[in-house]
Amino acid sequence: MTCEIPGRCVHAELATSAIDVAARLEELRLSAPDHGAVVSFQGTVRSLTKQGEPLEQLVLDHHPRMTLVSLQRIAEAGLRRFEVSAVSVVHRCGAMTPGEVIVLVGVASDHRREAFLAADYLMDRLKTEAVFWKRELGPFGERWIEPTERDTMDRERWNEEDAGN
Amino acid sequence: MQIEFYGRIAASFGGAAQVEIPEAGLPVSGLKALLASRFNVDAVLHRAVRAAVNNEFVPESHVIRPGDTVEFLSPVSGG
Repeated sequence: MTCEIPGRCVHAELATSAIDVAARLEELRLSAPDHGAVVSFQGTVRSLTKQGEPLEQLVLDHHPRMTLVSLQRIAEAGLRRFEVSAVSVVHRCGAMTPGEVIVLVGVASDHRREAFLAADYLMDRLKTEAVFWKRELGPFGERWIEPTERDTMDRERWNEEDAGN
Repeated sequence: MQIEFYGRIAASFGGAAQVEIPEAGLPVSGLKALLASRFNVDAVLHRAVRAAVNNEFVPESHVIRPGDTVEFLSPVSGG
Protein backbone atom coordinates (compact mmCIF):
# COMPACT_ATOMS: atom_id res chain seq x y z
CA MET A 1 0.00 0.00 0.00
CA THR A 2 1.53 3.29 -1.15
CA CYS A 3 0.22 6.54 0.30
CA GLU A 4 1.12 9.62 -1.72
CA ILE A 5 -0.39 11.68 1.06
CA PRO A 6 -2.05 10.34 4.22
CA GLY A 7 -5.55 9.25 3.37
CA ARG A 8 -4.81 8.75 -0.36
CA CYS A 9 -3.44 5.22 -0.62
CA VAL A 10 -3.30 2.80 -3.55
CA HIS A 11 -2.16 -0.77 -4.09
CA ALA A 12 -2.13 -2.72 -7.37
CA GLU A 13 -0.71 -6.23 -7.56
CA LEU A 14 -0.40 -9.06 -10.06
CA ALA A 15 -0.55 -12.27 -8.00
CA THR A 16 1.01 -15.48 -9.34
CA SER A 17 -0.42 -17.65 -6.53
CA ALA A 18 -3.50 -17.68 -4.27
CA ILE A 19 -4.52 -14.22 -3.02
CA ASP A 20 -4.37 -13.81 0.77
CA VAL A 21 -7.67 -11.95 0.95
CA ALA A 22 -7.67 -11.43 4.73
CA ALA A 23 -4.14 -9.98 4.71
CA ARG A 24 -4.83 -7.61 1.81
CA LEU A 25 -8.05 -6.33 3.42
CA GLU A 26 -6.31 -5.86 6.76
CA GLU A 27 -3.63 -3.72 5.05
CA LEU A 28 -6.40 -1.68 3.47
CA ARG A 29 -8.24 -1.21 6.77
CA LEU A 30 -5.05 -0.18 8.55
CA SER A 31 -3.89 2.25 5.83
CA ALA A 32 -5.67 5.07 7.66
CA PRO A 33 -7.10 5.13 11.17
CA ASP A 34 -10.30 6.93 10.37
CA HIS A 35 -12.01 5.01 7.55
CA GLY A 36 -15.69 4.75 8.28
CA ALA A 37 -16.22 2.15 5.57
CA VAL A 38 -14.31 -0.68 3.91
CA VAL A 39 -16.01 -2.34 0.92
CA SER A 40 -14.58 -5.39 -0.84
CA PHE A 41 -15.45 -7.51 -3.85
CA GLN A 42 -14.05 -10.92 -4.76
CA GLY A 43 -14.45 -12.45 -8.20
CA THR A 44 -14.17 -16.24 -8.07
CA VAL A 45 -13.83 -19.06 -10.60
CA ARG A 46 -17.19 -20.69 -11.33
CA SER A 47 -17.53 -24.48 -11.48
CA LEU A 48 -19.62 -24.43 -14.67
CA THR A 49 -19.10 -22.66 -17.99
CA LYS A 50 -21.81 -20.42 -19.50
CA GLN A 51 -22.80 -23.45 -21.55
CA GLY A 52 -23.32 -25.47 -18.34
CA GLU A 53 -20.30 -27.74 -18.79
CA PRO A 54 -17.98 -28.58 -15.89
CA LEU A 55 -14.96 -26.29 -15.73
CA GLU A 56 -11.65 -27.84 -14.75
CA GLN A 57 -9.38 -24.81 -14.98
CA LEU A 58 -9.51 -21.12 -15.79
CA VAL A 59 -6.22 -19.84 -17.18
CA LEU A 60 -5.38 -16.12 -17.23
CA ASP A 61 -2.53 -15.27 -19.56
CA HIS A 62 -0.88 -11.90 -18.96
CA HIS A 63 1.50 -9.49 -20.67
CA PRO A 64 4.98 -9.21 -19.14
CA ARG A 65 4.82 -5.40 -18.90
CA MET A 66 1.36 -4.05 -19.77
CA THR A 67 -0.72 -6.10 -17.33
CA LEU A 68 0.60 -4.62 -14.08
CA VAL A 69 0.54 -1.11 -15.59
CA SER A 70 -3.14 -1.59 -16.51
CA LEU A 71 -3.95 -2.61 -12.91
CA GLN A 72 -2.06 0.41 -11.54
CA ARG A 73 -3.81 2.84 -13.89
CA ILE A 74 -7.27 1.47 -13.06
CA ALA A 75 -6.61 1.56 -9.29
CA GLU A 76 -5.28 5.13 -9.50
CA ALA A 77 -8.27 6.24 -11.59
CA GLY A 78 -10.62 4.87 -8.90
CA LEU A 79 -8.77 6.79 -6.21
CA ARG A 80 -8.89 10.02 -8.25
CA ARG A 81 -12.49 9.77 -9.32
CA PHE A 82 -14.19 9.10 -5.98
CA GLU A 83 -14.03 10.58 -2.50
CA VAL A 84 -12.24 7.53 -1.14
CA SER A 85 -9.08 7.24 0.90
CA ALA A 86 -7.64 3.89 -0.21
CA VAL A 87 -7.96 1.51 -3.16
CA SER A 88 -6.53 -1.99 -3.40
CA VAL A 89 -6.63 -4.12 -6.57
CA VAL A 90 -5.12 -7.61 -6.55
CA HIS A 91 -5.51 -9.75 -9.68
CA ARG A 92 -4.43 -13.34 -10.25
CA CYS A 93 -2.73 -14.73 -13.33
CA GLY A 94 -1.99 -18.33 -14.31
CA ALA A 95 -4.11 -21.47 -13.87
CA MET A 96 -6.94 -21.51 -11.33
CA THR A 97 -9.54 -24.06 -10.26
CA PRO A 98 -13.22 -23.46 -9.36
CA GLY A 99 -13.68 -21.51 -6.12
CA GLU A 100 -10.34 -19.70 -6.30
CA VAL A 101 -10.28 -15.89 -6.10
CA ILE A 102 -9.48 -14.25 -9.46
CA VAL A 103 -9.68 -10.65 -8.34
CA LEU A 104 -9.94 -8.74 -5.08
CA VAL A 105 -11.02 -5.10 -5.06
CA GLY A 106 -11.06 -3.20 -1.78
CA VAL A 107 -12.00 0.43 -1.18
CA ALA A 108 -11.87 2.40 2.05
CA SER A 109 -13.57 5.74 2.58
CA ASP A 110 -15.22 7.97 5.12
CA HIS A 111 -18.69 6.92 4.01
CA ARG A 112 -20.01 3.72 2.45
CA ARG A 113 -21.70 5.16 -0.67
CA GLU A 114 -18.50 6.34 -2.34
CA ALA A 115 -16.75 3.08 -1.46
CA PHE A 116 -19.50 0.98 -3.08
CA LEU A 117 -19.47 3.21 -6.16
CA ALA A 118 -15.69 3.07 -6.50
CA ALA A 119 -15.64 -0.73 -6.17
CA ASP A 120 -18.33 -1.04 -8.87
CA TYR A 121 -16.37 1.31 -11.17
CA LEU A 122 -13.09 -0.55 -10.58
CA MET A 123 -14.68 -3.90 -11.45
CA ASP A 124 -16.30 -2.56 -14.63
CA ARG A 125 -12.93 -1.24 -15.80
CA LEU A 126 -11.07 -4.42 -14.82
CA LYS A 127 -13.54 -6.58 -16.80
CA THR A 128 -12.86 -4.68 -20.03
CA GLU A 129 -9.42 -3.06 -19.68
CA ALA A 130 -7.19 -5.16 -17.43
CA VAL A 131 -4.67 -6.78 -19.79
CA PHE A 132 -5.48 -10.49 -19.42
CA TRP A 133 -6.63 -13.23 -21.74
CA LYS A 134 -8.88 -15.94 -20.30
CA ARG A 135 -9.16 -19.55 -21.36
CA GLU A 136 -11.51 -22.20 -19.99
CA LEU A 137 -10.33 -25.80 -19.88
CA GLY A 138 -12.62 -28.78 -19.42
CA PRO A 139 -13.89 -31.96 -21.05
CA PHE A 140 -14.89 -29.77 -24.02
CA GLY A 141 -11.23 -28.85 -24.60
CA GLU A 142 -10.13 -25.21 -24.52
CA ARG A 143 -12.23 -22.09 -25.07
CA TRP A 144 -11.20 -18.40 -25.11
CA ILE A 145 -13.37 -16.02 -23.08
CA GLU A 146 -13.63 -12.46 -24.36
CA PRO A 147 -15.48 -9.47 -22.86
CA THR A 148 -19.24 -9.67 -23.38
CA GLU A 149 -21.50 -6.93 -24.73
CA ARG A 150 -22.81 -6.61 -21.17
CA ASP A 151 -19.27 -5.99 -19.89
CA THR A 152 -18.79 -3.23 -22.48
CA MET A 153 -22.16 -1.64 -21.61
CA ASP A 154 -21.29 -1.75 -17.90
CA ARG A 155 -18.01 0.03 -18.65
CA GLU A 156 -19.75 2.67 -20.77
CA ARG A 157 -22.10 3.66 -17.94
CA TRP A 158 -19.20 5.55 -16.37
CA ASN A 159 -18.45 7.42 -19.61
CA GLU A 160 -22.05 8.69 -19.75
CA GLU A 161 -21.74 9.93 -16.19
CA ASP A 162 -18.55 11.74 -17.22
CA ALA A 163 -20.38 13.38 -20.15
CA GLY A 164 -23.07 14.66 -17.83
CA ASN A 165 -20.60 16.36 -15.48
CA MET B 1 11.22 -6.69 -37.13
CA GLN B 2 9.98 -9.24 -34.60
CA ILE B 3 6.28 -8.94 -33.79
CA GLU B 4 4.72 -10.67 -30.79
CA PHE B 5 1.11 -11.72 -30.30
CA TYR B 6 -0.98 -12.18 -27.15
CA GLY B 7 -4.33 -13.84 -26.48
CA ARG B 8 -6.31 -15.83 -29.01
CA ILE B 9 -4.46 -14.35 -32.00
CA ALA B 10 -1.13 -15.73 -30.71
CA ALA B 11 -2.05 -19.29 -31.73
CA SER B 12 -2.30 -18.25 -35.40
CA PHE B 13 1.29 -16.97 -35.43
CA GLY B 14 2.96 -19.34 -32.98
CA GLY B 15 3.43 -16.37 -30.62
CA ALA B 16 5.75 -14.32 -32.86
CA ALA B 17 6.43 -13.39 -36.48
CA GLN B 18 9.28 -11.78 -38.38
CA VAL B 19 8.60 -9.11 -41.05
CA GLU B 20 10.51 -6.27 -42.68
CA ILE B 21 8.90 -2.85 -42.80
CA PRO B 22 9.96 0.19 -44.89
CA GLU B 23 12.36 2.76 -43.34
CA ALA B 24 9.60 5.39 -43.61
CA GLY B 25 7.35 3.25 -41.44
CA LEU B 26 3.94 1.67 -41.89
CA PRO B 27 0.58 2.39 -40.24
CA VAL B 28 -0.88 -0.31 -37.99
CA SER B 29 -3.54 -1.04 -40.62
CA GLY B 30 -0.80 -1.54 -43.25
CA LEU B 31 1.17 -3.87 -41.01
CA LYS B 32 -2.00 -5.88 -40.32
CA ALA B 33 -2.58 -6.25 -44.06
CA LEU B 34 1.04 -7.34 -44.55
CA LEU B 35 0.77 -9.95 -41.75
CA ALA B 36 -2.59 -11.22 -43.04
CA SER B 37 -1.25 -11.83 -46.54
CA ARG B 38 2.23 -13.10 -45.53
CA PHE B 39 0.94 -15.61 -42.96
CA ASN B 40 -2.54 -16.15 -44.37
CA VAL B 41 -4.24 -15.09 -41.11
CA ASP B 42 -7.28 -12.88 -41.77
CA ALA B 43 -8.15 -12.74 -38.04
CA VAL B 44 -5.39 -10.17 -37.50
CA LEU B 45 -7.35 -7.68 -39.67
CA HIS B 46 -10.19 -7.49 -37.11
CA ARG B 47 -10.42 -4.07 -35.41
CA ALA B 48 -10.72 -5.78 -32.02
CA VAL B 49 -7.13 -7.01 -32.42
CA ARG B 50 -5.23 -3.98 -31.16
CA ALA B 51 -1.63 -2.95 -31.65
CA ALA B 52 0.67 -1.94 -28.81
CA VAL B 53 3.83 -0.02 -29.64
CA ASN B 54 6.46 0.28 -26.94
CA ASN B 55 3.93 -1.09 -24.41
CA GLU B 56 1.10 1.38 -25.15
CA PHE B 57 -2.05 0.76 -27.19
CA VAL B 58 -2.08 2.77 -30.43
CA PRO B 59 -4.80 3.47 -33.04
CA GLU B 60 -4.92 1.84 -36.49
CA SER B 61 -3.52 5.06 -38.01
CA HIS B 62 -0.37 5.04 -35.83
CA VAL B 63 2.80 4.78 -37.91
CA ILE B 64 5.16 2.02 -36.82
CA ARG B 65 8.88 2.68 -37.36
CA PRO B 66 11.74 0.22 -37.58
CA GLY B 67 13.07 -0.30 -34.05
CA ASP B 68 9.64 -0.04 -32.36
CA THR B 69 8.53 -2.87 -30.09
CA VAL B 70 5.32 -4.01 -31.77
CA GLU B 71 2.75 -6.41 -30.37
CA PHE B 72 -0.78 -7.40 -31.39
CA LEU B 73 -3.27 -8.17 -28.63
CA SER B 74 -6.63 -9.93 -28.79
CA PRO B 75 -9.46 -8.31 -26.75
CA VAL B 76 -8.50 -8.22 -23.07
CA SER B 77 -10.69 -9.29 -20.18
CA GLY B 78 -9.99 -9.32 -16.47
CA GLY B 79 -12.09 -9.87 -13.36
